[in-house]
Amino acid sequence: MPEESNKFSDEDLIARFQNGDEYAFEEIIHRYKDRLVNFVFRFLGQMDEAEDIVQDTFLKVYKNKNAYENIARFSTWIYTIAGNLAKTELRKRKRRRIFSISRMGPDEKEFELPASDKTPEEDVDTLFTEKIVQAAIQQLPEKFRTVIILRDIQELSYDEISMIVGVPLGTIKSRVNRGRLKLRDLLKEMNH
Amino acid sequence: MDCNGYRENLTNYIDNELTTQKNKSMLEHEAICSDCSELKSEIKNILGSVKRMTKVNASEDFETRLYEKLNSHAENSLRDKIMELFESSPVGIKALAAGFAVLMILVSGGYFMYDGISIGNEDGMPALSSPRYIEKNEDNSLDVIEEEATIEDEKIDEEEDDETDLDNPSENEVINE
Repeated sequence: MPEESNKFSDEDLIARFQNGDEYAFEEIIHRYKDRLVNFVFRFLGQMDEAEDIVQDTFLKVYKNKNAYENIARFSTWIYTIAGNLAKTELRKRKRRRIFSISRMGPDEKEFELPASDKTPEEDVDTLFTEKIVQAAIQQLPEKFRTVIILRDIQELSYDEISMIVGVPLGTIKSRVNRGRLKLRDLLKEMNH
Repeated sequence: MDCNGYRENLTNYIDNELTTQKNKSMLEHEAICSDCSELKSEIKNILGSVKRMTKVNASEDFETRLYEKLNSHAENSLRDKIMELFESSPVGIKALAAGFAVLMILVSGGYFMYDGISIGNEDGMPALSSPRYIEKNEDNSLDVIEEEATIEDEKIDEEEDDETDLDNPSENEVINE
């Protein structure tokens, strides 16, 4: 199984896991751990919390493997679980009032954006560091933040995002549009 | 098209998802509106910055920690299932399970003593069978006296063995038979 795991789709893997193949679950972990950590980290801004949430996501998949039915893509299902756990954590954090946008990645490192060849007039964000972009994303209202991360960072299709978030396609497109405009406003404010 | 219409359609415009007619209207508007034209450039640049953000990966020990959690979950599930079975089983099976639990405690107690982690005795040794006490001599030296079991003690033990269980006469009858 491990050598030939690449030829299985995600849906094949979860089906095999449902039939007791533990190697299939290991392959699911290999495939999804990094992209889920990236997704949750961009949502919460803290690496340790992001990893805990992704671990809880895999635990939920493990415990509730039979809850998955092959009517939606597996990726939709696992992103939905991770997204819900991240939102719950965010609400807990708001209650605790310890929200901080200053804590960044594993090395507390500020990343410089690559130099841009655009003129200063056109390019309002070449001066922004990755840290600032991350901070701006985290200042977006939750419903916009989710779709911006899923669309512009995770590069999922609108259909997938619609299924993960559980709202119609048109609403998702509208939220992405409004989210991008808000992100631009926030970045402009932070740059002045 | 006005500025509001332009803003509403901007994402679809950038993603090339507008009809030919709407696309033409967007082009016409931005040709005469520098604010909207600038807005489009800014949004495109921001999207470029967002896409270039460093991909954060799980730490090296992520899987190790996850498998530890999964193992712990598996152990807890097994214990819960045993408890569930125990709680829903008849009294006889419960008694048997309780006996087994006592046996396991005794066995594990022996194991802990073997490892020197007995909680009943600080030096990790089994408790002495005879009580000990310390006696002070005239020269202030101390003697440890180990008390031997007396005849009276043996008699008491025999009497205890002969005692019948008054609370459970039926069981005594079985024993007497």
